[in-house]
Amino acid sequence: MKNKKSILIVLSVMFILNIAMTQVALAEDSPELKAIANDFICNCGCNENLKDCESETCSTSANLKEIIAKMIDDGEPKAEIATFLRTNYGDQLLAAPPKEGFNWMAYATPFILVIAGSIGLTVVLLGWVKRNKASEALIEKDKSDPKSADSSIDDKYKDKLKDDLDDLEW
Amino acid sequence: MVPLLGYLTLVSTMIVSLYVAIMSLVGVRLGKKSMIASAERAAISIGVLVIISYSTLLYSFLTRDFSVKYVYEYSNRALSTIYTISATWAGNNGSLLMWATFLGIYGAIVIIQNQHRNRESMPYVTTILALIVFFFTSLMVFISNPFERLPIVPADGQGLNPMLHNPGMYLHPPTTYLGYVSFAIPFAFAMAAMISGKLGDMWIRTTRRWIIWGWFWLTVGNLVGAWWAYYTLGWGGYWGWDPVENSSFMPWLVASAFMHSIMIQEKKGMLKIWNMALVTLTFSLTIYGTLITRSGIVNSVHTFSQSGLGPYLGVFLFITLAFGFGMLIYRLPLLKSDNELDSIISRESAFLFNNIVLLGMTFMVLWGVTFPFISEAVTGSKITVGAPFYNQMAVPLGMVLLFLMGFGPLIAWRRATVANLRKNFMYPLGAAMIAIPTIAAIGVRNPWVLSVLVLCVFTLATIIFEFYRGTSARHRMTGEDILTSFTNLVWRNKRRYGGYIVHIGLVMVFFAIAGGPYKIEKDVTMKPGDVASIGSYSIKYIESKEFEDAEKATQAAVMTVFRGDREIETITPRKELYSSAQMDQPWTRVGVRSNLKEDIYIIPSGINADGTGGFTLIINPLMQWLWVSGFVVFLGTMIAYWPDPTEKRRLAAIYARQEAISEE
Repeated sequence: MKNKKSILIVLSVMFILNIAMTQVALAEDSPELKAIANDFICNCGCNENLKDCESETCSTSANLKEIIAKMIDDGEPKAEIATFLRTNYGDQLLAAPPKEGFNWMAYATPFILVIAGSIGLTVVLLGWVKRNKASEALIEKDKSDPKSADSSIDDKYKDKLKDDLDDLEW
Repeated sequence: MVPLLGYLTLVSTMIVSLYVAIMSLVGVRLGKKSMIASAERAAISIGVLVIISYSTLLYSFLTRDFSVKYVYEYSNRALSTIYTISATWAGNNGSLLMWATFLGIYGAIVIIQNQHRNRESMPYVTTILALIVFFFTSLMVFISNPFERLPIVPADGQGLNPMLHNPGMYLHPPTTYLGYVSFAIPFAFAMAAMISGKLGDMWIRTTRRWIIWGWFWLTVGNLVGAWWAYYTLGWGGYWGWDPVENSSFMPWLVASAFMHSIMIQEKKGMLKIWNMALVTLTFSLTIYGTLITRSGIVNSVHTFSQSGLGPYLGVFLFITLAFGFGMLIYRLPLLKSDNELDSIISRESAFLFNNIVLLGMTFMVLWGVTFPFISEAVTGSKITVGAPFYNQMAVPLGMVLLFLMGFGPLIAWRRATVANLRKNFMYPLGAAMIAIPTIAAIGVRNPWVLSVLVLCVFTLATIIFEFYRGTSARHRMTGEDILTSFTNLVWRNKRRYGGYIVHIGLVMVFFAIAGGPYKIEKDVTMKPGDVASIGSYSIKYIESKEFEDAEKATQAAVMTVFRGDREIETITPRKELYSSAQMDQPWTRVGVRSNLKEDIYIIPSGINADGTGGFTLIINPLMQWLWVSGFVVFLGTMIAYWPDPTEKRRLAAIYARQEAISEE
């Protein structure tokens, strides 16, 4: 118990000292900086968006934000800042693939597949409808045959039965 | 002594599961009922063994037995009892034990439930489940032993990562695993159906409730994970398309597709191949989720340890996929059904298009994960696929899904006539038309947000219309009063109306997401006494306070939120420093004030000794709807899941017929 208390006292002193000595840099990220940082990730390996990566615990994001802030102060336009970061840190710093060249594949492929899947499904479904019509026609033909034992069954009730069975909750 | 008991139980579970797998398989092949019965009794004992094993781990944590390496790594003496319990699943070893425990219990339940039914497929089900238990227990026995001892007993442990000091961590891992493991049951029944050649829809009817159970827990797991991220990670959002988040979202998407497509097989006997593929995919994705979370192969805010489990889980994933799809190819001739459809405009078609979109979304997520490797291989340059990519891709696909969620219930099974469409679409479309100018009038100009909100109105209107139509028809037919008609309607068609209530919950999710673009964010530096404004609120920084408890020292900023002159609430964003060796940096705790309209969310970036602090002030519109949706989904799922006597009778009749046929 005594041990626990002393740990806590040391901890509290450390915490206060830590705060007092380090004097946390209270960076106010401007909306412009946030807008630019939102398009990039922090390259410390945390995979977090640069805007959201806590500068306090990550020196990498703090440095990157400092560079962006300086360029904003120097009046550099957003596109210039983005180009500078891409040139110096590579496309890997971008939070999403740039919409150019091969990277268009990243954006297009899922939609192409969904559209192709939908077209394929439509074709398959139409085939199933066609097959159903063919078998219905066969039944009709069968019913028109006077020898058919089922011809007396009223279609209306047969359809009703099928509908009710379809709607049954299992 | 207790850890040794835990380890021995684990080894016993591994040996017994192998015994179960062999005995069950040999028994069914040789037609020896006694061997099958022995295997089943042993399989029930696995349920008991895993409970003992998990209990011993819990006991070691609660008694602070730091001779156990895992206890030493994830707890310390200062850790509260409540978080000591959650520490049992904080690392890989405990998580694997939790996986095996759930599976052992589920397996025992399945065997007890099926003692007198599905007798032809049960030996295969038992074998498959036992092999999965064997795999996970082997991992623990040989690689990731939760009961590993330290040569010297430390005086105290390293403590729990402060990120896990949150109620969300109580629920997130267990709920996600409850969902993951549930899908082992339909997978086992599906594989058993393919092995035994009994390829009807019995495996679906038998496991339908397990599918709902699994889907529900996956939903809760994802929502609680988002809730944890929102309140704990302190970045102002709840979903960052992190690899771990993606890995738990993918099985949810495929499971949602599966839940809809099995309805078509039940009603029409169609889509046998498709459903086999979906169940294999769903279960494989749960293994993939475990692999991503527990192997440490990706950097994520959700992974808290590195391990050498990756290759083993990878091989297991490969075997699962190869076995599932291999069996599917082998049984293809028998699975081919004479699919027939009355009309392309039918509920069956709507469900299938919903499947395409859900699988499209799954592919999109998987594509995002793999594209950096493809791009590097093709172009030679590395790229990142992060949240902006996923947000751009998910919005249009999500909108199609939302539309189909509204469209599906309006269309009749088999064939929708023009009159049927006109009658059913008139009111929901009318509501959507009215919604457009109304939503625009309250200031929503973003075309994406406007479209999502209009679709929310449309879908909600279709559901309300369905309830109205059913209630009024019942009222007319039975003469019951409206409330009784409504209650009886829902209670007598639990699955259908429970499903609609779940859909209402999902509409709420879309509604909450739609608030995202209207987020307001502002960084401020304040000293006590300062006032900052954001949106229609003023936030006064009252004072800075320091205090401590058994686990941590805290520095809090006491802030009062005003709307105009009216004081609304006092919130205290804070920085905490834990005695835990796992976190030497001050940890951020956000201050949040919520209502259904918006959240005021304050992130302290730093507080200096003189009280001066840096804060990010955020207004997150509609956030609470996301959490409320969880309760609505819970209500709907419970209704759909609740035992139904009629369903029970029908199933009993089917089982009896099945037994009679197999005896002949």
